[in-house]
Amino acid sequence: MLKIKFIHTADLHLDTPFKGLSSWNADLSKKLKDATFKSFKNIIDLCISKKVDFLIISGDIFDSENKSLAAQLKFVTELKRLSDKGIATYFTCGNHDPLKSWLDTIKLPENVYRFDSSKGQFMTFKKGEDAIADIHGISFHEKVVKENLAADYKLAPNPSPISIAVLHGTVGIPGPHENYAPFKTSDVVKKRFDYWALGHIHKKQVIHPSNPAIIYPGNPQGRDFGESGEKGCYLVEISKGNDPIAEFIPTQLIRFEDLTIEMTGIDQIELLQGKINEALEHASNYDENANYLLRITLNGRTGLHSSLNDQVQIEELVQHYNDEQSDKQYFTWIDKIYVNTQPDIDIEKIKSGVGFSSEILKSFDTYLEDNKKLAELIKTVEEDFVNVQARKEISEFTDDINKNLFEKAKMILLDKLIKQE
Amino acid sequence: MIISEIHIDGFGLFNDFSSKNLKNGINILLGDNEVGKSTLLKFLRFTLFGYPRFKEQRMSPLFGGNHGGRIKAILSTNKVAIFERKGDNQIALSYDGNISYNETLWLQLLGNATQDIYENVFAFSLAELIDMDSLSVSGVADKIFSIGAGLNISIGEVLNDIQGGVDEIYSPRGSKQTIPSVLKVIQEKKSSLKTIQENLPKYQELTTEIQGLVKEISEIEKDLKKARIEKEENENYLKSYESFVSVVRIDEELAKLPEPQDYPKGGPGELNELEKEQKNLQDRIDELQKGSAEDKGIEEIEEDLKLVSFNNEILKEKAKVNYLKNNLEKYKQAVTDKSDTAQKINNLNITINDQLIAINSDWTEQNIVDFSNLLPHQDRVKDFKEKLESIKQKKIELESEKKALLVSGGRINTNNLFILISLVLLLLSIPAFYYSLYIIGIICIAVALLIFFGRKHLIKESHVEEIAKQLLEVDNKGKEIQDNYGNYLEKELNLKRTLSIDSVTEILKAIVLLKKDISERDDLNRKQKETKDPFINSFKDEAISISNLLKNNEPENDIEPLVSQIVEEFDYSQEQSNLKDELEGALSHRKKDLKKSLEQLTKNNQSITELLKSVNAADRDDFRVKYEVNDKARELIEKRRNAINTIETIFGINSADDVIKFLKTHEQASVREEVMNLATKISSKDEELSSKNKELGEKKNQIRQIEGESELAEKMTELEIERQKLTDAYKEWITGKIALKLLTEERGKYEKEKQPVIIKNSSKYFNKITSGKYKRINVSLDKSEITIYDSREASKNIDQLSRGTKEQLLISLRLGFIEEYETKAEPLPVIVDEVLVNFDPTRAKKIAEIFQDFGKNRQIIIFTCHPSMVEYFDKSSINLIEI
Repeated sequence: MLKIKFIHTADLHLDTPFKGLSSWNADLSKKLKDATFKSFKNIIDLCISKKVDFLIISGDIFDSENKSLAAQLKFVTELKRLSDKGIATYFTCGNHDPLKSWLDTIKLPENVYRFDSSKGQFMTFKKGEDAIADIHGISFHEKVVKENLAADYKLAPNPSPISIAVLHGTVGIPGPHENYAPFKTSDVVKKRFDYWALGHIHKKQVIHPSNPAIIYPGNPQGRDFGESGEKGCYLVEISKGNDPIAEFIPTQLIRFEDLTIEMTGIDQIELLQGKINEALEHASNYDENANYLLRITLNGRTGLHSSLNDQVQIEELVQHYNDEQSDKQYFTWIDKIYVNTQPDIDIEKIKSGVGFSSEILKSFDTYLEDNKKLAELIKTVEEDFVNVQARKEISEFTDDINKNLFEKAKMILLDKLIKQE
Repeated sequence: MIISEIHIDGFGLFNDFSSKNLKNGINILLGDNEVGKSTLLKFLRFTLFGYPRFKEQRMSPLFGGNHGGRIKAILSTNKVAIFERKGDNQIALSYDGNISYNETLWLQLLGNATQDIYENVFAFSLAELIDMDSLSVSGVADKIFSIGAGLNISIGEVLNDIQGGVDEIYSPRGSKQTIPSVLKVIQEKKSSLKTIQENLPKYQELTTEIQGLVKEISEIEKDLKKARIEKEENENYLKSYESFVSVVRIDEELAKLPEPQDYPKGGPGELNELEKEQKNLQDRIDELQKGSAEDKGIEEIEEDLKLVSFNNEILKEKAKVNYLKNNLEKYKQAVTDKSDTAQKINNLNITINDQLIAINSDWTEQNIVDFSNLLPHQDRVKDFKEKLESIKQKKIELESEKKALLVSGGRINTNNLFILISLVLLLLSIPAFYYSLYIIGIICIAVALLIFFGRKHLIKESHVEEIAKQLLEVDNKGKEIQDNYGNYLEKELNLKRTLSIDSVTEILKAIVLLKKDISERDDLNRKQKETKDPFINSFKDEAISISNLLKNNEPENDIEPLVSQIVEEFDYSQEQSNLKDELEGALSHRKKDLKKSLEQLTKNNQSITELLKSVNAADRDDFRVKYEVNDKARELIEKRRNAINTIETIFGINSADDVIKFLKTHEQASVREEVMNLATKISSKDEELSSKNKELGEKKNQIRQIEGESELAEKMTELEIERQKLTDAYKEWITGKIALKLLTEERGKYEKEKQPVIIKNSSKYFNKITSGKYKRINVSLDKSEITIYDSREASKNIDQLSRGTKEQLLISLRLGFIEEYETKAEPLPVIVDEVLVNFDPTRAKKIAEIFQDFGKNRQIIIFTCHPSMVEYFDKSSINLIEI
């Protein structure tokens, strides 16, 4: 039975920082700092425990802009573990870790093969004397590669029973990721490879289940709230003549979750903790044996609006919640709670009335309806901020963010102008 | 809208309360403090605008009834609406023939006024008036605006509040606010990050350097190895030099000598041995024949033998001679003893004789001998002695007693006394009997008899006669014993009877001694005869029997010297005989030896001859020389071979020729120099090597250190966190700024659009209230100045106004705003809560007038607990309701 078993992962982004965290917590920091390494280590452990034939990594192993020495050294150390057990590794370089950013003084262990940037490369995996699988791949020579690299992939002249293509690139319609090495699914299906081991998109997805199987494994450890949910690698079994079986196995150290909680109708602040846990459990693929890092947004109209807006109280709540995690085997930490609630007042009612408050609300509405006007106002306001260095550290605001700020300003004023009983 | 009826089911202390006659215009609700004015006010508010969230504030009915109530109102459209609301905020609106539960309609009918609006526009409170006095200029301006805006709070305060928050985050030249502080942290983190990031190129650099060093080190090691090998080679040449020289010399010498032959080994040695042997043998032969310092030779022994002679016969009598020898002393002693013994016997005889005579001149020795049983005799004598002694003793005793008695004659003779007493008593008994004292008489008699017959027992029996009698007895006894004793002596002992006991004892002792002496003497005699004499005689005989064998001397007459002679001769002969045997033995031994030696000598000579033949030597010297030469040649060859071996040990097998060739062509000195040069080179390369190695070690350490540092992600995450903080702060700042901007904008708009109208309205009322004292109010656009103009257009600032005037101003402003408001929305009843209380009567009246005026087209509900308030109003045109 001609069969191979391997693990497919990509976008390790070793030793890259976490973004979007609002608070620094000594305990959390300790856990976070090695998270990317730990997830990769878990993958290596998995390779060994599942006794795979080889490991495929489809690019972006580290981020050359970070200039992390540890990333390259530790990567090689872990691969050596596989090499010692006789498990091979095939990997390509992506846009973040193009060939030229790798240290030439690092020696890759035996059984570790890195594809270079020449076209049409493939390496044959053998069991004993028999050639079982051809593994094709190509590495980014430099950071930006916009040509369709997939086009040059074709089966070897005397192909082995199984052919696998390793590619770091963007399939189909461009999305939030930059359009590196773009290609279309339809182009690729024709090429009669058994499996396309892709990389670059951080969200895992099965583009095509079989004939061929085209899979993005996603990065094994999320690094901000945009990369939430389960993160891991794919364990793939291909036996000639059958469809490939690809099983997703989570390996992350910490899961990011962005939760939104409706506070309308909730009048007691003690209920909040329960609501948080409830929201968490309802999040997709909730795993009670995983560590979580939460960003919580409170929405809705609630009488608790003013107490929620009390920074101190919210911080205490978060602190209390997090302190309770320290004894647990699997922790759930709250990074920040964004209070987007509105006071329990009928804004429409106010708006339709007469008076200063109504006028102000109407005025806000005019801005919120006109993005341009809104942007202009913000620009005017920003002119008062002359600290150039600080401004550099902050990324540009999108229209959505601007709208959000307006909404917040509106709420603040409402809060202050309208006294509640 | 005008409220016409209020009906309360249950609210606070009201239960089933109704007030049905509220009208347009001034309605005064008069009641005491506790009667529920404020409750009523609340009822109005809650019913129209909604009950508060918190149950405690809802004024649940205290005296029963359903919580809630209704208000009947006549709208400005003249339509009637009944607003019913329950305590749980359930509403029911009766309007236009329908009952609706729709909030929208409700609100619509109320002109969409909110509670806030209602509070701030339509409700006048006392507290507000009081506050007015304490407001500053800006406070007043603020107040004016707030009133104008229908707000309860001060816009200025809100603006300040927001501005404060904004300033905390960032201000253009500040350095302590949130944004600059976070920025500072960011920059610190960036720089420490940079340091870590610099590790990457450093690592690359170090690895390259290390590779270079490793190469260099390997080169140096190669050079060193080569130099060492060369040096060793040259040193080896030096080591081989001596051997080389030997070889060369040996070759020269060998050339002069003949080919070495294969001579039998050890020839000369053997020859030497043989010669030595020969010499030894010869010496031995001589020695045997002629003798040496220690031993005699054959010749000498033969001579000696001739001289030996001895008495053979005496030798045959060895036993006897021995006997004589061994017993000579004994014989001597015996002779001496004999004379001693004779002497002793003689003495004894004398003593015996003397003693005998002493005992009894008639006695002979036989008497003594016959005397037996000495011991019993001795005992008997002792017995006699004792007896006589005791008799003597007794006599003495009695004598002394007698003496004693005779001496004590002067005393009363007790015996006689007792007789006398007994007689007396007897005599006494008579009279006793006579006088019929029979008892006494009997007693006397009895006692008398007792004494008489018992007197022996009462007195000593010491009669002199008694004693004399005893003495006599004793004496007789003594004599008897003496007699016996005498008889005994005579008959038994054959001694004179007059002898004393002591003498007899002595004699007996002497007899004992004598007996002993006699027996001793007899003994001596016997012994002498029986043993001692025979011995002497036999000895003598033996001696004499040999005496005639003496050859050397004439025999002596005396035994002792004779024996000496005999012994002497015997010994001498014995000696000689032994000597002969010895000599003969020695002689034969030597002769044998001699024979053997001679044989050996012959053999030896033969061997030597053969030996010489083996190398064709003419004679011994030739033999030796031949060997010498041969040996030398062999030796040289051996030496040569050793030298070659030495060289080969150093350089290896079969290398000697090359080495020799080399050394023949190279000076020793030059080789030495080469070695020195190489040594210098080696030491300098060594130094270089160790310094390169040190450098390598240092660089390796550096790399290890860099590899160990792995805080990049952590630090970057921290940096990102700070960035996030910065972003959040910035967002907050923007938000604040937006709020500020819009608020300011809106306020500006309001002031521009609305305020003038309101001020105009208010000025009108102010004029009225102040009875024309003040004509108008002016508020500058930037609100910094509020000026009041009097009738003469003289201006005053707010702070120049009195308290009362300020209050009047406030009321005017309120009225002004209400007027303006009503142009846009459904008018609502104006509620005045106890406002006139603080005004002086004049002003109060004026205000009441204004209210009255204002109330012409409106409903004004005045709550008060002061009946006097009512007086200010025109009774006819007010609706007084007492609660």
